[in-house]
Amino acid sequence: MQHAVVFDGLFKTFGGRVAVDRLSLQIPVGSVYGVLGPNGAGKTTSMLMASGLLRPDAGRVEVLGRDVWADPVAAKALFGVAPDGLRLFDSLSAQELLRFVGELRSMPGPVIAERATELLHVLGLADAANVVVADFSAGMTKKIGLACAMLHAPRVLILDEPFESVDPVSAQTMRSVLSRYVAGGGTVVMSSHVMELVEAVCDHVAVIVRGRPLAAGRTADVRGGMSLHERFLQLAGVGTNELGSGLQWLQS
Amino acid sequence: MAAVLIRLKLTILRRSLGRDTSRLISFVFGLVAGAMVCLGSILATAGLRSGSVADASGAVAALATVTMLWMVTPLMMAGVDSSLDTAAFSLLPLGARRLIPGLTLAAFVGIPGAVTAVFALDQIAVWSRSVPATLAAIVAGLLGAATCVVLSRVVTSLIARSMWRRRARFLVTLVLPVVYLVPLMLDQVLQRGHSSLEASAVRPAAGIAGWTPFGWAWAVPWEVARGAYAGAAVHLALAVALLVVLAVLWERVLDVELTTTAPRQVGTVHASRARSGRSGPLAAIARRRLLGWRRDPRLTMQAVTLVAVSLIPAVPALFGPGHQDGPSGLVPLVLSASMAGVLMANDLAYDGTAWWLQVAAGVPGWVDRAGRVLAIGVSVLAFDVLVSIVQVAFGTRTAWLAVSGPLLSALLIALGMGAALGAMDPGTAARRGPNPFAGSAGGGARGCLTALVMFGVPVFLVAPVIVGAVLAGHSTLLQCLVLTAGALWGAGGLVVGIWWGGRILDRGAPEMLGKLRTFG
Ligand SMILES: Nc1ncnc2c1ncn2[C@@H]1O[C@H](COP(=O)(O)OP(=O)(O)O)[C@@H](O)[C@H]1O
Ligand SMILES: [Mg+2]
Repeated sequence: MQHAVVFDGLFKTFGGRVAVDRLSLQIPVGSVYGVLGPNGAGKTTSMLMASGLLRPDAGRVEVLGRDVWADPVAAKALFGVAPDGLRLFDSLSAQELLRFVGELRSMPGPVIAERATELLHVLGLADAANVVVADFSAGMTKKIGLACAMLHAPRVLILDEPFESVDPVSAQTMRSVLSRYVAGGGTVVMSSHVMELVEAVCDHVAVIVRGRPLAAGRTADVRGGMSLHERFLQLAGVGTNELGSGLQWLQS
Repeated sequence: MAAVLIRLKLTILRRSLGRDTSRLISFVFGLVAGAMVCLGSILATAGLRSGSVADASGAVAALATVTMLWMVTPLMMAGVDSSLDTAAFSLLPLGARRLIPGLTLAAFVGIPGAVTAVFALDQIAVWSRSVPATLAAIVAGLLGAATCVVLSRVVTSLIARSMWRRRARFLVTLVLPVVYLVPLMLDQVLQRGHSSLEASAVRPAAGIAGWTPFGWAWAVPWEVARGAYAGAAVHLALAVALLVVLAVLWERVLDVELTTTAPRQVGTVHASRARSGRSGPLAAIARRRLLGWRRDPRLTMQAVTLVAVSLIPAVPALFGPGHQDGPSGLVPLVLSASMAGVLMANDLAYDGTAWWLQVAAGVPGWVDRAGRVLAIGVSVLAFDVLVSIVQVAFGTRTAWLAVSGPLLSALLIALGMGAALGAMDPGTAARRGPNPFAGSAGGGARGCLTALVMFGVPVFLVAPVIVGAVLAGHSTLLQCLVLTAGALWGAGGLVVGIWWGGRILDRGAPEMLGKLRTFG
């Protein structure tokens, strides 16, 4: 089977503290691959390294056979990315932003206009087309970020916490947009710490804790009969009785 | 509470210096400059102390000016303000009333605060001619120094609040630079009339300054020293009233700041129509940057400041005779060229982390540099042409051809240098968000260094063209030749700058993004 994205021994430290520890993952073509992990597990760091925005200390990333760090121009044409925690050019309106992003990728004007209109419509942002992105809510910002990532019709999408602060209705819209994208041959890699969502959306998952993958594969295999939630807590090594007799002072 | 806040401020200062060498260097520069100002003030004090009361009244005017500077400086230099960011306290159950004394005292930890404290002590020495005058000076020192701090805090907070509303924010950024530049302009105009007057004309300055709100407190010991007790009483009452009013205002504003976050305002804009023809990354980057002059209040402020600052020195030439063809007519053009370079060097800081979009799209470094140079260069060139047309229309500039070569090459070289420098370091910008005065992206220190380099180095690089222009004399043919050579020389510098900067970005785009990320 051909792999859409291959993480090969990715390693990153920040000031001596290991954030991502020799992470290797194979993401099959046509899958929706969820990278699960608690806060600080290294999800954002891995996503940034995979999308050419943060240089790894060691390791390689390949997107459809192209090395992201050795051949960035070819690789960057193949995937779209929506990072978490980085701004957009938010003094532009939604429409202007999409046009700007399209022009950065040298797309022809009419194609940009057509796709931008359609994306804004499908994502429920048509009314906000002429609103400055700075005035968007957190959920709307996530959606316009997704539109920016999809505009050039990439074959792989790398999404960091795509459903964070998105309301249930919009989340449903985004899910159907993503499933149509995958049905058309696309591959999605997304990170999340929301178990239920990943269980519903992703056909493959990897659980990473402290930068290391503890389990990876088909969602059903990783789950092993439990709910993903239980399995995740088990892997992360958190028991429900962890607190013991601490926090006595909180009792009233 | 006061002790806690002062310790907090010391800790922040120590941390920020320890982490960043350029900040440390400029802090040392600031210390040296502050020490020199203090020394000057002490020497002046020695002179004034033994002089007549009329002479000593100069201290009132000087301190009134210092007080005004406290109000004006944070407005002029977004990001230089080093006060504690009160937004950080909004999560703590603390009322404004408990914070205000501590915040006021903490403001004296830092170079401007310390220098002001020295001034306040010096004026006590100046007025220590009799017991009543000394006592008055001690009261004046306390009142005056407190007024400085409270005034600056109230004004910045009020401005910051009005900045929340998009429309008001835009107006304020347009009007502010004009407001603070008007006195400077007036000064320029008046100076021409004044130069013939005798030095004694300066003396009424104390009287005038003493009756402005900035001088109310400082004038009290002067009035006591010259025996005008009624005047002293009025000044004292006014000074106390001012401080009370300001403190109440500050408490109000601070209470609001501590309990609210910026309201969200939906701003609809008319999307620029998609023109056919020019498209592609370079045009897109240039177009977005041009739009920034209008859309980003921080850049609007920069543009207005650029126009105002470069025009002021040229004002006298428009009014007085005898200035035709004088060098001051060229100042706007020279200054705007240097400032274009500074803008270019700081441009990535204004993008902030949003710059990732260009990295993710794989835009080559030189395209980024060239797009920005195009936008900034065209804007500044348009300004220069406008100024030149006005000057020619007013008849204040006739020898335009002779100076065009050096000016054009200066603009191009400054842009090229900015393109290279801006690729090594993102530079500085006021932070985004509700309060553009809250802090700076790269730290004021680095901004000062950049400005120093940008105003100094181009002079050397343009020197050959200047020499050529001087040698060309009045020959039109030679002047045309110098213009052509200057344009080519400048274009060469610009290309080198864009190429070099582009290469740096190509090699280290993720590292640049990392720097932008640490600035937020
Ligand atoms: N720029 C950075 N500088 C220092 N430490 C960082 C930086 N980015 C991330 N880290 C650290 O790396 C670890 C992983 O962070 P991150 O990838 O953001 O986790 P996640 O997205 O899974 O919550 C955390 O411990 C975080 O503190
Ligand atoms: Mg994250």
